[in-house]
Amino acid sequence: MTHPALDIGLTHYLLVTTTLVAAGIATILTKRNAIGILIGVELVLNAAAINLVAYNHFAWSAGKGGPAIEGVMFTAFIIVLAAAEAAVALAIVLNYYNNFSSVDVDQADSLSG
Amino acid sequence: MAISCTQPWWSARSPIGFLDPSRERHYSLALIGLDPIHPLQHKAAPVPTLAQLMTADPAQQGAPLLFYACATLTCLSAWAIVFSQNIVRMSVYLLLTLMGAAGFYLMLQAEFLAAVQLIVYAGGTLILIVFGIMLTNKNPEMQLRATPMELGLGALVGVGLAALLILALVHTPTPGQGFTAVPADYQQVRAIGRSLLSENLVPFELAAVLLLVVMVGAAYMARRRAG
Amino acid sequence: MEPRQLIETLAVAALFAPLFSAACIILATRRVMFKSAGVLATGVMAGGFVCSVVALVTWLGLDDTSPIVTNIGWIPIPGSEAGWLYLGVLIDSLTVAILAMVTGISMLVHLYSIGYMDGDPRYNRFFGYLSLFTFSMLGIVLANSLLMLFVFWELVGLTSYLLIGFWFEKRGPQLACKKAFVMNRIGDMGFLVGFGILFAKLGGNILLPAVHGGMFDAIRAAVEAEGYSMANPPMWLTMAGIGVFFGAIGKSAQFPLHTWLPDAMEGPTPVSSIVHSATMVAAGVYLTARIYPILTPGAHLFIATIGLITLVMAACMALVMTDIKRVLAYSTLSQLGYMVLGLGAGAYSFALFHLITHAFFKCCLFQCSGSVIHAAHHQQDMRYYGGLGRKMPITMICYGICTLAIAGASLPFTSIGISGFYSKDGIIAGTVNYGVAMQSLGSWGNLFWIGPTVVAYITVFYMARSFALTFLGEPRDKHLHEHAHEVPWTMTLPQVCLAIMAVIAATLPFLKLIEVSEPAIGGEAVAWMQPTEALGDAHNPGMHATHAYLLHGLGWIIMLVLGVVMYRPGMKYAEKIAAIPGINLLYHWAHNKFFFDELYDTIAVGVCKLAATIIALIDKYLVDGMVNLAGWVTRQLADAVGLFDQRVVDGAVNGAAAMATSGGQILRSTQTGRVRAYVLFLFASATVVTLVVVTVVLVSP
Repeated sequence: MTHPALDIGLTHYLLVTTTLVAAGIATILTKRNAIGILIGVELVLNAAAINLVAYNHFAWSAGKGGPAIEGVMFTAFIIVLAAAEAAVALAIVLNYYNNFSSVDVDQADSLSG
Repeated sequence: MAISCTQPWWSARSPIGFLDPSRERHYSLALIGLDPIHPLQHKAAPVPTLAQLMTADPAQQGAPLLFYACATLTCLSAWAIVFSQNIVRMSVYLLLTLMGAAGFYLMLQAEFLAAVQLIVYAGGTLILIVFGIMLTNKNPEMQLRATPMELGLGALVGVGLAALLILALVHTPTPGQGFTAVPADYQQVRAIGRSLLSENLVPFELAAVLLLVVMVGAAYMARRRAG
Repeated sequence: MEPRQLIETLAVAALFAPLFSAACIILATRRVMFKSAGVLATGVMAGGFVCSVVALVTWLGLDDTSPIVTNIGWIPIPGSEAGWLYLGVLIDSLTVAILAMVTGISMLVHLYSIGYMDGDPRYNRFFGYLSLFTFSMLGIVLANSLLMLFVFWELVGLTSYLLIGFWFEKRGPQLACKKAFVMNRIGDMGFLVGFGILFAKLGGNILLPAVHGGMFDAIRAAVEAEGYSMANPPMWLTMAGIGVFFGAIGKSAQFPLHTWLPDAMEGPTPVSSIVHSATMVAAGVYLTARIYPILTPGAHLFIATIGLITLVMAACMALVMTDIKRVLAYSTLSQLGYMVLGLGAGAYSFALFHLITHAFFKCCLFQCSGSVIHAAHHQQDMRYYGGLGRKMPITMICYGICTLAIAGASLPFTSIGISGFYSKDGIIAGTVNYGVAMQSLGSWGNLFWIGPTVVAYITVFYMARSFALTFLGEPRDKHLHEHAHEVPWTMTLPQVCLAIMAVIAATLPFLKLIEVSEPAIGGEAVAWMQPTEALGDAHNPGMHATHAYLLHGLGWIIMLVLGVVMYRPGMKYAEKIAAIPGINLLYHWAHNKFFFDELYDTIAVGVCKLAATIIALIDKYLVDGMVNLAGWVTRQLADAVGLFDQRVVDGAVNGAAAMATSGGQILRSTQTGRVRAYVLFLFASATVVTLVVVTVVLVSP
């Protein structure tokens, strides 16, 4: 019987991504810079992507008859979406900057009730 | 993700084997040397040596030590983003995080994704972010500090959620380590290509349309308005 | 094809031809069908005319002259004796003759309108209305039952309303078309009353279409089945006959309801020419002829009296009018009076024959007057004319021929004359018989023949007057005269055709056809009803019992010369005569149309005012009192309800509102507008949900 620390499995990856997602959420919540928030979103997305690849890897080894591909495909699409999201988000940020001469999201509170 | 699905997705053959109760249970608590099912029959395993850590893992692309190195890099740089107050530094930490993720992909035998991660994410998205920083920040040293209460609340929510998730994780049965070797002639890039043009064709095309729309939309939104 | 079947097919084709062109013109857009509307309608109408002429010729060759009847079940009436309401056609020799006359004149009027209406902004619509008008008239002529006849009767009323008011932007046509419509409604009310009497007494039998014989033959048979005869008629039958005749009074503009016809001059002149000849006024005379089988002696007396009054009165008015179209309008009234008098007096064939001959020459006269008006830039007052004959020779010749025709010109001391001579002479002969036979009236009966004889000379005089004022003498308006010119061929051609017809109509077999259709009257008590043979024959007028023509032959020439000499220099002699005390009153009286319009206005207004006063009193004391009582009760109730409303309902509503306000104030504070706050809520919520899920999963066994 090997020591669990040597037997790297799904759980190890999930622990890492949980840490990553917590960091992402904390980033989103604490940054006032719009680009900082964008970086936080990227962290959350990466956590999900690693999760999917890990599940794909170990799920194949656990049950399927052959190598699985679904998780990898998901991740590929996540990367595409992340790129698109970043482009749109930056366009919004630029627009915002043109209006407010700042990237402080707390200034945009005209919808306050 | 078969397009032509004759069964509802929830009844399809689950790709996640650990939901199968007949399989061997492997509780994550064993990581710290405790077996939640048979705590009394627990026999502590010997502490791994450095040599063992550096030995290549048959389930991985590399040694356990490599995993721990990537994990450390990723987690530390991610939390460094949280604590950093400088936007330029934050983007550098993000780069490190992304590289760590690429290392994970390599270890998980997704070499293609690793390359894409580095090229698209680190090389494209991150550059985009840096451009954003340059265009929006006349003073890169300017710091937008959050109030202590905000920091406290943010950390509380983030850490609280992580703690809850870990709590759930350690009580969740995960698949065993019955790793079978990848066939020698398996080419993942070929499989991805086939998948993109067969079962994932519609998402593929939609992604293409999405990129086009994003290109137009971003250019439209970011344009400098007259006056 | 079997001849009777052929006639029926052709008649139906002639009926639907104008409907077809009307539908094409009215439904097509202005772009598709504007200039071509006139040509299309005229062409289709010419087709209808050819159909009816072929039908007429075929009919003349028939041995069996019993009516052709076709009935098609239309609406089933369960439980009634009749079983069905029927549509269909009834064709006898009268139908065939009138059909040819109507389609022929309509075709010529269509042709004339192409020139007359040229340049009108609603050129196409005019032809649509005109074709629809013709269709309605043909429907009356061919109707197989009283009901169907009434339907087309109303259609004629509607389309005449549209045509008279065609220039509805102007005040005159607006009032004229309304007046025509209302006057016709009054007459139609009588029609409906007569219809209702027959229905009440005879039941559904009157809805039965004719199987053989005319439509009223069936009603007559039903009357006789009840045990009555024409010698001993029931009072209600007389009333029913007078009632239905009231419809004819409206349409043919007889005495009490005549005022609409002169006002209808406000419509375009082609409308006047068709209304006054072939369609609308003819419909009334035609109806009177159709109801002949059920007319009792009393009804006959009524009809003859109405005709006599109309013919004398209208001739007097025509003497003093200066508007060229109004002169013709009153002459139409007068000639219609002849027809109605003839029908009432039992001269059935000659009255209907006069309908046909009058249609030709009156249509021509109106077209000529339209040409004159067209050339004179819509000046209608004859006092401004004079000497137009030199500028418009064709129109003058046509007008002159038709003046002779309406005058009943004949060679002195012979029986050779123009068409109007034969028909009018026959009517006068019939009235002489009638006047002499009406012993119960004493010497008053002589009025029935003295009237038409005198009016015949007055007719010659006023027609000579209008001819002389318009075409002879020196121009009285130089400017008008210089600009006058002959009208285009589309307008002169119909005039010439009609003038020719006015001369030769008597040689055509119309009278023969009408004689065949004359219903058998029967009954010794109505001995005054002479069969046509006793009154003489168009081809042998010498048989006339009165020999009135001998005098007439000289008389009309004297009156013609008198009229021309007096009016050739204009109105100066007439003005001197009109200034003589006594005569000036008469002149004034006639010139204002005997004050009928004012009389009707006064009566209508007075009755309305009286009724309004009574109703106002009722309103003030009875209705207002009830309303006030209801108001008082309502108010007391409302006060009680108001209290409840204020205390209970408002309290509940205000409470709810206050709760909503305070809740909103609390929730409002969460709407910071800051993105990060929302993200915080989002993740905090996710954390809470995760907490709940994890707790439940871990605690549960």
